[in-house]
Amino acid sequence: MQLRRQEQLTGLLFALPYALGMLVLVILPLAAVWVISGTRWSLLDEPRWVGLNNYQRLFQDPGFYRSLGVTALFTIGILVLNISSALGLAVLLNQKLRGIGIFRTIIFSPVVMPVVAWALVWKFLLQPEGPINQMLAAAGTQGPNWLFEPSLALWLLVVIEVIKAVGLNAVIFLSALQGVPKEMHEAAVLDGTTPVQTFFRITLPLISPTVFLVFIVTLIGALKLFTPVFVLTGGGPAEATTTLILFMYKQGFSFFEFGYASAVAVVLFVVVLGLTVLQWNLRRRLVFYES
Amino acid sequence: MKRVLLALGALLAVGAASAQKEINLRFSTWAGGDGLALLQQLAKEYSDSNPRVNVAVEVTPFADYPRKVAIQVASGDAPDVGWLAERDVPAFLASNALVDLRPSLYADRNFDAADFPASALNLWRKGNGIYGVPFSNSPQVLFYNKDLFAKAGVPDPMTQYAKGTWDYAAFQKAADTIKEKTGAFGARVMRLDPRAWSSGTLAVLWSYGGGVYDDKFKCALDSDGSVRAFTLLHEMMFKSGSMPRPGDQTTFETGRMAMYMDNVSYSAQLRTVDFKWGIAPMPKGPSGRITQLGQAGYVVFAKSKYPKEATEFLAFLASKDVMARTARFFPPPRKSVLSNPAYLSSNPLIPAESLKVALVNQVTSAKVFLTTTNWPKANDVITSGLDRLYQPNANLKAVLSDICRQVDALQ
Repeated sequence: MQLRRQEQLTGLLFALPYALGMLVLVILPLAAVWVISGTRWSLLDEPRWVGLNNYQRLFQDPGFYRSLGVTALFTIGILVLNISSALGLAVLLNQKLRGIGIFRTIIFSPVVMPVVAWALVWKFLLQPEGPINQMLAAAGTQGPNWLFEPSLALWLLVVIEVIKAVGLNAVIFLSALQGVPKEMHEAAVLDGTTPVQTFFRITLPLISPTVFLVFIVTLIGALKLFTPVFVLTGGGPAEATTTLILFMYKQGFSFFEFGYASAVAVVLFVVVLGLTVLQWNLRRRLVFYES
Repeated sequence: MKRVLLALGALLAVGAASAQKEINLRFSTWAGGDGLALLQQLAKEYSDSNPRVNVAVEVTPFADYPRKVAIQVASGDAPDVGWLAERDVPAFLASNALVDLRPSLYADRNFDAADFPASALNLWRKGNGIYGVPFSNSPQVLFYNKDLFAKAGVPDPMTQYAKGTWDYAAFQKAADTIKEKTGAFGARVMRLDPRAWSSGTLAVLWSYGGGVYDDKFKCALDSDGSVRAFTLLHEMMFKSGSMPRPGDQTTFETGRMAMYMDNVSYSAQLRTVDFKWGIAPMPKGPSGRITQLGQAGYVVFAKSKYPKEATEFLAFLASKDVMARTARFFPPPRKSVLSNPAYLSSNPLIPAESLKVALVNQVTSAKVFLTTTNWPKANDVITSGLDRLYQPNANLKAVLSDICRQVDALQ
């Protein structure tokens, strides 16, 4: 009995550094955001308690709703483009061709590139008289001012982000595809299915747990995406790329309204949590588990 | 082992030395390069001659400066004394984050407050107090690429200024001709960062009789003068293409830009370029030659533990002698320094005569951009509005009226 207690104590001691780190670096700041969201605080002066005022103001702020709309479009764009192209690429990369390793490397390489460098390169390429428009001019057409065209900028960001991130998802899908038992495909072929039928009826259901994982991770990533947007457009042109997270940044670090910015952070937290719980519950119906 | 002991000994010695200093002052700045080296030298000189005080210089890049200082203030780790840029002054004043220097420094006879033109202190006043000392009072001047002007056969801005013909029409014509003859851009007015649009643009607006605000801080971006100024910029961007559109990253340093508006301190970045350049006064508009005066000042932060000692150190930095030394990088508003021939010949990159014409002669008609505490929000609205303004088919008056409606709604 005493030995067991001692073991328990040792176990607790081993877990303590992590638990403390988690408490100080994650849980306390998370709780602090909720508390700060009930204050008016410019950082330079003392915080003043205002209760739910920030939330009242937020739900009447047209800028908040605009950024919510931008976030929705942006997230849907990234989900659709990223997952469909990752899956397509994974299927292509799964072919047994000579030199396929080279293609796998090429598609994965943007993932390891630092995100700011990636964004700066694109910013340079997309200048009004930059390399891309010069190429277009040589081909006889005039390119737009890509990042300063309100109707274009958001979709451009989606494409740039997907090119950067798609490699990781493609690799995850690739490993899932390689886990699909060969005999299932063989049996299907013997039964006379077309390759398209095999993919949708056999492969996709078998890798659905992976699709689900990739979906959640990509969704949360898209909702929280900050750096490339900040570097490439800073939320412009004309607010067309001000996502919720940029809206929050602006309230805090440009306008010095940390209480209000924290209220936005809380709303973002609740949105992400809500979406994740929803998906978790839908998972039972949509995902096929072998066991 | 011996080495370890030596290192320990050295550490102890350092510890003992700093223990003798009772007061550690922290001086916060965004300076870099030779300007920073000079400030560090000054901090050392001050620490050496004041046995009780040790001054440490802390550097934060300009873009992060207000954020980082605000976070330091919030977390009880505020610097004692430091630089503050004009854009951040209203917010720091409104939050009572600065120490009033009027009863101490400005009352000191050695400081000689009368050496500062009254207008140079407007930015720093609140109620009866004065909360900072401007150390840099730099009008925007026109940098021009002599090679591109020669190549296009256009008389350079200094020559045209001497003849009295250097106005915005001549500016536009020169830029368009250079674009046509050399393929290089004629002029850049805005900075690369769209949020810093006001730097450069303001001088054009003011010279046309427009501006961001009128005297009562109502939006004046849709006034006739402002609309005419924006029309000039719009034409240069979209008709002749002599001005880069927003998003273009071409800078003056590349040699593919004939004219650029910035402070004299920008010359430090031109030390290694392989083309000839000069500085000239800004062009004249229908309402005069009104350039923007960029200001930065020394302040004592209200959360300082040693406000008295911090103010004494500030008095040292802002004294006539020391400002004469820092003037090489940061032209101060002190009349005694600016009129001194030693100052005019202190910048090895710019001939004294150009500096006199472009800088000193412009100071009298230059203006500091005064804003309200709402400026960060107004700037956000305007930046986003300018994205709609700088489109090929934009209706300037309509877009500007819409911006003004939003800016006035903030007040």
